[in-house]
Amino acid sequence: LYQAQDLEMLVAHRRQSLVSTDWEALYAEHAVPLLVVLIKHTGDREVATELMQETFVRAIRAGAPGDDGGVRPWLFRIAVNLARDHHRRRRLLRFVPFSGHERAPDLDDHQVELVHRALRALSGKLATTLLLHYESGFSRQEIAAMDGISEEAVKSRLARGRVAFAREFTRLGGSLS
Amino acid sequence: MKGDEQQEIEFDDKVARALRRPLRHVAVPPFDRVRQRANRRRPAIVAVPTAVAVIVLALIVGGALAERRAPGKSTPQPAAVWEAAAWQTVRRTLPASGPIAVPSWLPPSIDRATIEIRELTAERYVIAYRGDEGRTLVFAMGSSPGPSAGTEAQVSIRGVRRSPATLSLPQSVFSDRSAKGLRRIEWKEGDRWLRIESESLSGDDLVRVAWSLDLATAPPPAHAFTRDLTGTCASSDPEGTLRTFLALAGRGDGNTALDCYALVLIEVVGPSLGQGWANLPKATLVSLQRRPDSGGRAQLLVSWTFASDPGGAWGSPATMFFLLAREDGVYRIAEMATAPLGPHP
Repeated sequence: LYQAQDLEMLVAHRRQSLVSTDWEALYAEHAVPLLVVLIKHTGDREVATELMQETFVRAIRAGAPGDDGGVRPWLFRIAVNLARDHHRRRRLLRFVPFSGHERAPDLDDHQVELVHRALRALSGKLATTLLLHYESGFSRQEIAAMDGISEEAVKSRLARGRVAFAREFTRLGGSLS
Repeated sequence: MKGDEQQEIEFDDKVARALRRPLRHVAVPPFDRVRQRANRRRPAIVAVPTAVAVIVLALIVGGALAERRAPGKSTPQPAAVWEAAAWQTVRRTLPASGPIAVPSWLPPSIDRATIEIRELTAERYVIAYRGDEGRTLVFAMGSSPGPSAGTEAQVSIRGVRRSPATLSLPQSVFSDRSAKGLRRIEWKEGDRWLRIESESLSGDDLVRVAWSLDLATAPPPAHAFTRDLTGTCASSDPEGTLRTFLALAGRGDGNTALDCYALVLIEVVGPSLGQGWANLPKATLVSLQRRPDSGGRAQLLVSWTFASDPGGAWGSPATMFFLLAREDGVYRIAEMATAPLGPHP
């Protein structure tokens, strides 16, 4: 977007600013994209908001990595791990009787709700890989680094995830047009 | 083989569009809440060795969440507050005199709640709004103009935060108005370059966004003017304003005629506009036709005759295109031209 010289100055400035991490600025920058992924993953706005805040709480306690290029994937990795934990907890809860407090997904858009329900039918790994790639725009290489797997494995997850998601999404009545 | 590849690309695109479907009303709690939580003492770590214990813990967590969901206990902030908060963050980071172009109007396809601050330093910012079907709209400020592909068509736009601006369009729009490609409006305030750009919005939407930008921190007008007379010309419909405008020619009352002109035009040309029109010979309307809006402004093609030779550049009969902007609920003349002004592709 800008001339190379400007870009170098910008990178230098950002590196310097991360030494004393401006968490409020990072929150302003990443809270909404993180929340969107978590809402689509969990299907529950309040749980997603809770997990998004917890992401930052853990990040603040851990301290930001020195390399500014790693902040965004690092935050998403924390969020995705929290979402997977939540997913596992929900699975455990399926074995106990209904408490009467369970709620239906509270998404305001039927199609988005179908997205969540289709993702829920997938394994946690496939669902998060799809969201990180398509919703958050991470490259295969970045996801591979995040999950500690090969780029080829990410490619395979995406291929399997696409097919499984499309099948489930259309089965639920969603339109892929 | 190519067919399979094409099908694969299309399938990938369809899945991507379904997954990227934007959410309405995404609102995040204030950062202070997170800071307070982070500063709280960590709870003691309890080892839970058995699955039963895990279930109990999960129930406790689930119960706590259900309790938290009780009506009235958690009220997310409205989306608009989040947008305002993002721009406030930009404001706080830039020097007080730094130019910030905050939108007051956005196309309905753009989600005002889903904002991404892509870059933010004391020297520059890049703010991206997202919308339906992957639409994005970027607002940026920096020390240099955006890179040019060298093949764009360029159109001059007047009155973007009181500055002349350039709308760049892909050359291909001349053969296909809906052609994809980057559209960009760019202008300079002091030593800073500002721009609005989108790969998915039309040039006309971009112009409307640019014309509607908030004027806070904008350069001062070339001609400062405070309106002291309203209701003498400007009407709630554009045709009404232009009929009165023509009737005011030859009356000698420049102050009354000034009510016909929008501030954006007076501030550039000066308040002598009103007297200039009032001193012309009397005019008689011949025809008045509505043309497609341009940049959100009403456009009319008007023909009239003067009672005598007006002299100067004017001819009789005269024909001009007028763009009328809405100011305080009434329409005023923002631009006069001899050729139609858009809508921009």
